[in-house]
Amino acid sequence: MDYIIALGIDAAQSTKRKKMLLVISIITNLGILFYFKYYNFFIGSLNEGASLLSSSFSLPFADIILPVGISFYTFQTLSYTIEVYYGRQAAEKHLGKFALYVSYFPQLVAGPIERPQNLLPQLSNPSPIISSNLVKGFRLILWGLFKKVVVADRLAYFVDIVYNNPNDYHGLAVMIATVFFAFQIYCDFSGYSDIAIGTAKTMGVDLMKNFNTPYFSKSVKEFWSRWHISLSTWFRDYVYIPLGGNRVSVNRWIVNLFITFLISGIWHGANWTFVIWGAIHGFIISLEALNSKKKFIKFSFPPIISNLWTFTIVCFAWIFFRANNVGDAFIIIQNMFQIDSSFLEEVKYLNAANLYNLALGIPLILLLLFIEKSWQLNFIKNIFYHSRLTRYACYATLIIVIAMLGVFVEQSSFIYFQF
Amino acid sequence: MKKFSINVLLLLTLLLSTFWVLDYTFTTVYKRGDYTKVQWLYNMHNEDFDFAVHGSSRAFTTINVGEIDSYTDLRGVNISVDGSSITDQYLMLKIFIENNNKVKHLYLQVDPWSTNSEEISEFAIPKFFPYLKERVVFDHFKQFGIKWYAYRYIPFLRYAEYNTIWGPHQLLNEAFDLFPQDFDQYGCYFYKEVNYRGETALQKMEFELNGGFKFLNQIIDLCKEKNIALTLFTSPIANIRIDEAYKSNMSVFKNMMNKKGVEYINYGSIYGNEKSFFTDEIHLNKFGVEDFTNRIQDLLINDFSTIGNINITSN
Repeated sequence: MDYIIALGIDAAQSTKRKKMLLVISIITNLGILFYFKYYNFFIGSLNEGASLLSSSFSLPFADIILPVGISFYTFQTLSYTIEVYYGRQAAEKHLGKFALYVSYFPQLVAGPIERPQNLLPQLSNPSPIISSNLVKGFRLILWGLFKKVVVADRLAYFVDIVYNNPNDYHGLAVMIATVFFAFQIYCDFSGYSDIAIGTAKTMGVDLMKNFNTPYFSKSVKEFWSRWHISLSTWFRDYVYIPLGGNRVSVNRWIVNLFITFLISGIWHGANWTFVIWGAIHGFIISLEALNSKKKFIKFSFPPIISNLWTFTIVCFAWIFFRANNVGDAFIIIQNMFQIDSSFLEEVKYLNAANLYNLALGIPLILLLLFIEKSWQLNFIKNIFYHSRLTRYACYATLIIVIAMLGVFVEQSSFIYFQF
Repeated sequence: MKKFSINVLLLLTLLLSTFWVLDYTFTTVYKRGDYTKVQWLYNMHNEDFDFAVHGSSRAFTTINVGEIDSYTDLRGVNISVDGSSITDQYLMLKIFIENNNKVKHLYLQVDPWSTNSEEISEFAIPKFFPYLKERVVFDHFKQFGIKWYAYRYIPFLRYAEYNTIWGPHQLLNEAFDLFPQDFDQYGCYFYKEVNYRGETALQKMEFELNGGFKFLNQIIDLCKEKNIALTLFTSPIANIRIDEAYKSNMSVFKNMMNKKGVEYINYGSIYGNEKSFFTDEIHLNKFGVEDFTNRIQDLLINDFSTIGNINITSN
């Protein structure tokens, strides 16, 4: 339908007709997304609200199977019609190429959410398969695999133990589980993105960068310029800026920011936990924005303090993202501050394999941070590119580490596939 | 592209050699260890027992063989493997016999509602990995699909896939004996938890008695061939719903076994809704083990009295 609508927008003479076609596209796409992803959540919330008011009103739930990656390709195809509407992209006349753009397999289920200006021309003029692209592509795939099956899936064991038994863990155990989850979700999602980008690269297609060492951010605003970049720029371009962005009064600007992050939270999942997660980010970003205008804090903190503060806020918000429900999230927060409980006493009942996973978690996180940061600072990059032997030794080591420490059974699906 | 292909080939050769060395190291170290039940049993050779208890965790954790041993002077062993299915239990018995161990009477714990299974247990199979290259083990597993050939011939693949069980942590454990085995010298493990906090609703046991009972029949045949007396029993379960379907299915199963000349005793519902004997819905706690061991002991005394082969030591 978006294929036909975009051709219609391209051919339309009047702005009114263009706008009408765009509205049809937006309503249809979001309508489908709403039905599959939010209908039962909406009905559940309505029924709950009614029961709180002692009403017998109750609507039936629909028996829905959520299509994998629906949030991603809905946003990708929406971005296409919006770009055609603004005249920044010509409508694609070839149905096959348009279909390939929407369903390009490496990024179909969990992004990066591509813009038509980047992906369509590359799909129209495919590059030949060349060895340099193969090497770059496989290197990214390997690194993504390491992040996913070694770091994310190892950390997941302890995270699941704590978050699925919120009453049994307190203080340090909850803090460690929350920090583990921060890195689990980062490695899970950025690992998938690396695999997707690497797969496309082997075929000569460059997908956009989706993560840029987000946990080194010095503010929540900066975090969002480094985390899930394809989604945050989507919301910036198609929600925040159309709402007026920052070219409005300060109050309206704050509201725009808050609305954008609230919608981002809802996009992540049909659960109040995601809504609260989005609201926390919206609230903190609004405070940062206010501070940038009104200068409540007149001095700047040392970078390390800003880093730690941002990481703490992000971790606090992750509690809502990971908790099985809002009630559990509050129990976890309450328990987290019971610092008098004995960490060793609480983890002593874990079996040997889970104790090993717990002990392995922190070295894996430190190794990951060291490699990513020093790569960014060209520290490791120079050694890596020094000789071919070094590079191949690195590849072999990484493959052996994946084989020895990767998790290949049980909990191995990607977290973001559910969105 | 030619250079790229050569480099890839070199990398693959390097990896294959490394994985071969790792495979050899892991296998050698694991074979020396005795942390899991399979390792412990594999290292048992030329032993002579009066009786053996066999089955899944429902046999591994519910009978105190040491207690029976001290009371009756009958030498017993528990060869059950936790998490195993009847297919794995057949293999374990074969290995036990191939290692030239002898037993007069085998007490096999079976759950008639799942004994028809021809599945291998994801939890138990990795425990056989160090021995996969041995004929008896590979001959057993190769019937479960082509992936077993991959595990057998691609070095380190099986340890990589199941490294959460047979990973470097277990290698360190075996090499430095960090965590001792958690079962006793008779091969029994007992749960520490005493309180069962599970559902109070009665459970309906779903039966499928129309299958071939392939592996149970193979165990029966093996016992006949080796002249081992065989008794099947079902360990207690909390809260079984004893309806007409349950009674009828249990009676059909008992008749089926009787026709094969095998004794079957159902202890499944003996404790009814008595939670104080359970640690969870299918495993007994220490009070349950004590009571159930006495019942099995009576059975043993009865079985061995008929062949005049028992001394009772009074406690």
